[in-house]
Amino acid sequence: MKTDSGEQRRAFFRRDFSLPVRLVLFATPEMSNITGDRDIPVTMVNISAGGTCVEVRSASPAVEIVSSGSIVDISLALAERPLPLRVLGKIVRINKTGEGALMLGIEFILLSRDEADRIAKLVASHVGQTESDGDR
Amino acid sequence: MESPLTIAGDVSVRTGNVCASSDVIIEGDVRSGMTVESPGSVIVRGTAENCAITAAGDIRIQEGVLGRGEAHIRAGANIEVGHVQSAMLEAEGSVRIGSSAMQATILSGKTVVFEGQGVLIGGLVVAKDGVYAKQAGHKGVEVWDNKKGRHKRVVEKTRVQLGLHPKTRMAYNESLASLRDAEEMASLAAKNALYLIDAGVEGISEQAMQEMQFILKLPASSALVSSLGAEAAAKTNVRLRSLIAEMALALPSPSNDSQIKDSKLRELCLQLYHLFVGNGYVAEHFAKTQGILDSPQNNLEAAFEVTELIFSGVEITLGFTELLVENKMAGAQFTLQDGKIVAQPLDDVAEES
Repeated sequence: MKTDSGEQRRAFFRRDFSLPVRLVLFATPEMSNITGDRDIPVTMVNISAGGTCVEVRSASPAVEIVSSGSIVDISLALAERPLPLRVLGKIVRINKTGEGALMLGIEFILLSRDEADRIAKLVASHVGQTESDGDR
Repeated sequence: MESPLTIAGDVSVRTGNVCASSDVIIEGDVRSGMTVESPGSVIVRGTAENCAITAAGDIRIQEGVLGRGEAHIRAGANIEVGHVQSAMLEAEGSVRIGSSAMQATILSGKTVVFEGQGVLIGGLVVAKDGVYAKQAGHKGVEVWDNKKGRHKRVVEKTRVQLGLHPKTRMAYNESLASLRDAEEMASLAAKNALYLIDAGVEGISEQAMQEMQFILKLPASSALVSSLGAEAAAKTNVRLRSLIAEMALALPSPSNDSQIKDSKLRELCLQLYHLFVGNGYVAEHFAKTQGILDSPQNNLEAAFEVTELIFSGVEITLGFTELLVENKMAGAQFTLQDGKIVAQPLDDVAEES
């Protein structure tokens, strides 16, 4: 996989907490049609109305080919509706941690107003550690 | 097994909650807010109020349950109660009601049998193998209708659902609700995408546009899976994914949508993605509901038998077929015959047997 250490860019209020999330590699800049196992096993680190940061701790075929600019299909299990919230995001940052894990910074690129509201409400309602935003 | 734990009076704040390692016998009542748990059976000589009683074996509540909408009685085997009102009874085995059930939820892996008065009024009964009562439903109550300036009769629905284990019924209902949501999502997205294409979107090749229009005009939702088959429907969605991927890779960051053409392209991509997601969920939940429909575990020979009187407003589901009783009728046995619910007078049933 390709990593970069692009500077953090935040336009939204961000909260550090974990939510059940499923990440599926949708396309990479090199391959728009990926076949086979496309799951990326991740744990959420934080989320904002504009994107999320997830940690990858275990290997998978998709982890081998993921790169900055890749498109990922994100499923968030929110309690209020039976179907998970699905959002398409772009990987804007990949950093390696000291413990050998990968941190993926993902920007939501396809989000309806209703979906953005649901995420904003989730972020606002969750009590946890917060980081204030910086201007883009 | 250990000898039973006997509580001489009520289970209340004076005794505290009961979490036993043996059978439990309670000589009095189980009062509001209390819990009783046993790995064996539980016998309550008095009544159960809005409390929780859980047992791996049988539960018998001699007087009855007055749950105020909050009592939950859950047995790994059978439940027997004098009467029940505004409570949930949940048994892997059978449920026997001594006289009446009013506004209760009764779930049974086998049968629900009403004895004595045998009256079932309001609420929901879900049983795999059958429900046997003397009277079902209620004549209703007269209330004043301000709009029409006269009295009207309000009848509370009594729902009886047979043929599936309650947990299977719940899974089916959930899957069906998800299927409907997904169908709505896919159908709306296809309509919106076609509208956007008709209005004109720049930056898409002629070939991609033709492919999109072909996919968008396919029958929506589960009709797509039914008409094309699951494999062909999945292939169509794979092609849709490729089209979305090509567009998504070219999209700038949302905050850089400085030109109207970028916003239009993003909106079209979003609608195609919603169609892709909707189609995926439709396929998943269509398969789930079909699996439950075709399961050999279902008992489509289950019967709802009412020996005396059935009031209008009783809603009967046998397997996956529904019938609303619209007029008061004499006792009958309801069974599923050739995909329809048939009410057979009990004299005829007796003669046949």
